[in-house]
Amino acid sequence: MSSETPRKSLMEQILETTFDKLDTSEIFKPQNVQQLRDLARNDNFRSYNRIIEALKSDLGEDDETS
Amino acid sequence: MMKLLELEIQNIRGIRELIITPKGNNFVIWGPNGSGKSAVVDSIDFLLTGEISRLTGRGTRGISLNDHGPHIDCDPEEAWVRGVFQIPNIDEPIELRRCIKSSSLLEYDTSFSDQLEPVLEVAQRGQHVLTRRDILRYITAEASTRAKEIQEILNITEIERIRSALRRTITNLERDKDAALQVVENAKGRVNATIQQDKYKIESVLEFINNNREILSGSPITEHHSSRLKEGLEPPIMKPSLVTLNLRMLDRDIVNIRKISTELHKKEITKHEKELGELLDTFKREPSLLRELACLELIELGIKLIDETGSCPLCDTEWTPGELIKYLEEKQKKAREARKIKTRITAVSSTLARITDTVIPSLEQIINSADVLDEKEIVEELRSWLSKLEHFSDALKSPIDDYVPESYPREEIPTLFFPHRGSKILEKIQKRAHDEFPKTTPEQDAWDSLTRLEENLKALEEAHEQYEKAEIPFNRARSLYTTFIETRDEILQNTYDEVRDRFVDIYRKLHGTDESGFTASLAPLEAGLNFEVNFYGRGNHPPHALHSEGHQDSMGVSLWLALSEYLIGGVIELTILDDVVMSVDSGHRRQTCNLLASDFPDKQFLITTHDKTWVSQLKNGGVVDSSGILEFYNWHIDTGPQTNYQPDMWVRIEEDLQRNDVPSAAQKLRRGSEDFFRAVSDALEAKITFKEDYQWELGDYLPAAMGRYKDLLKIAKASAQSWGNKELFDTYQERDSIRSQIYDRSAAEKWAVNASIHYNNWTTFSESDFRPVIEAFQDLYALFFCAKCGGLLHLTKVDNIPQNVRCNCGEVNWNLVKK
Repeated sequence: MSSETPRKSLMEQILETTFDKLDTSEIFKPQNVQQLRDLARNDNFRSYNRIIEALKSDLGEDDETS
Repeated sequence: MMKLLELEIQNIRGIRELIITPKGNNFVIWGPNGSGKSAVVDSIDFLLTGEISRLTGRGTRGISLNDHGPHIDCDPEEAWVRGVFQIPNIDEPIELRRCIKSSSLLEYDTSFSDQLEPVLEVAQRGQHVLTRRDILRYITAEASTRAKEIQEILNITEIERIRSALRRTITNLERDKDAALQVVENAKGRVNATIQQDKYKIESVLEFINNNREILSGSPITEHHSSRLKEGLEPPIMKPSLVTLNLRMLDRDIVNIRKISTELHKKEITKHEKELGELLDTFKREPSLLRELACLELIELGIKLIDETGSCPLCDTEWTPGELIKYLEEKQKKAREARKIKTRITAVSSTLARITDTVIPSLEQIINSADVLDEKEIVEELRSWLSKLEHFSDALKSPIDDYVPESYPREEIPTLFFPHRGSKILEKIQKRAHDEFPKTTPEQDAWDSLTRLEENLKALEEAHEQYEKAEIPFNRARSLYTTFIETRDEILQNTYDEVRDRFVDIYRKLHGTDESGFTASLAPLEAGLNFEVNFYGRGNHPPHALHSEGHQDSMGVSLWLALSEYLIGGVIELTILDDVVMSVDSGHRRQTCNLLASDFPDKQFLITTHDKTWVSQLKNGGVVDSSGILEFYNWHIDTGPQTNYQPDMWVRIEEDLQRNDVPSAAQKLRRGSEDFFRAVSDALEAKITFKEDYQWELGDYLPAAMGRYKDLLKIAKASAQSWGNKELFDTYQERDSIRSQIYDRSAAEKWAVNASIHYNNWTTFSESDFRPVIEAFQDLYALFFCAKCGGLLHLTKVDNIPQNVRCNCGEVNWNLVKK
């Protein structure tokens, strides 16, 4: 171990790689993935309601389905 | 790389005032239990993280940093720690200070923030501190607990929480999607009612459209979209008074409803309702099933979190080990059974709902016709029929909460769909309609049919659109979840592979030939970890299954060192081993010293221990020198521990000689030599004459160690000769010659040491008589050390065959294997 840059925590590694994979997925829009990244950084995915908002972020306001 | 140069502690947890100066080197603090050693560890912890981890977590309720961080009777503002560190990417040492009163504030030169923050972030994870408690927690614990503890040290317990949040996201979006699907099914039911089909088929819808279009002289269409239904068609000409009732459509709705009254349909409806009632009755008889189902996720998580104490991980209630797991597993079994029942309830109620949805639209149309005919009583009866059916349909949407079988006596269920007076009512309406309204033209029928279908399809298209909007986030949630799980497994597997290889390497070095074929397996298991080790080539087993406790402890230390190196290496080289000596098998402590000195040259170990022998071993093993050993003793509540840097034995002997106190000097030499040559005998595997009372002394160790050294040097010479390496042979020859001279001198003098102790005639020795003895022993000691790294020479073996005599740095490395 000679690197002087801290190794990212496993959680960070997992989330970042997950988002990188989503970037190349056709079913996600860039804004969905960006919002998920922000959410992971700022909220650490504590609220699933916010995750839902991120997944719907490109679908407009009138997306109430329930 | 972060190393500790100096540490000052004021009024923290049992220490009044202390300054130590490790200068970036290994440092040992030793003393009896309760002497304040761990307070040094707590202080470093506090300085770097703002918390004292021992004051947080399980079993620390009622303990706070503010009240219990400062030394007793001290105010928080009087309790502080200051450290001087070498930090990566900063040339000059940096000073950090933190006070308990404002624990979140770390005082330092903020111009170094960029370099310091990543280091503090890593320190926050606490992966640089190993305590005895940690080892117990994740090696000698139950398998499930160990996995959890390893996850904790990897700071990945968060993974399970995030996985759970993502899973919950899917569940919520699935509920939205299912609700939207229900609207689609309802809309399809209306289309089916209009075109009189049992199941929705696009071909049938198109056929219906094109048949009616043909009547209206329209060309066929290939797309059944509502906007294209009447494309190119003109409405037929009709008298306004005749447009209020379409006989043909009325007949069609009546046929629809009558279908339900056939015996076949009655049987099907009764059969499904009976099954639904029985399934719901299971929950009614045992309401706890639903409660278990609601708690399934919590129960499953709870089972994973129970540790070796068996206590409840949520409320800390004590349980006999194994009992809580048994209790929760019973609950889990029930919850899974409940889940099966719930799935079947959903399937049966959906079938009933589909049948209901084909009746309701036709019934609504017939009510309209009855209204036109001004059949008030019949309208009331029909509305009551519709209302009951709608109520039934609503209850089927959430059957567990809303469906009350008692409200629908089984024998009356068929009448819900088709009441006893149903035939008479329908006959009457049909007859009056046919008597009073003329038959409509085929064109009018066709136009009205297309109009109704147009409305049905619009509703269906809108429902589809809403469903797609619900399906997109649901599919994304599923993809996010599966990608997360897939990535988690990949990254954890890579991590475990890397850690496993290093763990095996360290463990083999600790156990030498005893475990030269040792292997291990670390594999992700869901969010957990399956950790197994090979037992002497007889397959993989959990560490506690077959290995002795001593071996398990060595595994604990090895695994922690591997994990710690993986996680913080290159950033924080300060590694704290807080009283872990008990976790090192006594037979492997010397190897542990060698390992710490040789395999982790860049690390700075701060070691606390209550074991004096371990301190000697650390010193003799070259892990630490005399200036890095501090003794804590005589702890008192008012003063904290008294401290004593233990000077080198030669320094203390010299002090005795300066006072012409030969007896004290001789005694120190004898005692020290006894410890030293015991360590040498162990390191070189010298043969010592067995004594039943186990009371070996210098007279046993010294000749054994010297003889072994001589023999090994002889083997090394023979080896060099066999390889034809003359240069090496000459080196060994020269060393042997020095050895011989030193042996002669020390052998001549050693009686003096013995005499001075044994016969109590030391008073006759003067300082000048004793000095040559000291010098001879100093030279003798030097033979067994490496002049470069200061480590004791030791024997290495492979498959129990001696291979080398070497030091930790490799400067001394005698090959013992002949060509």
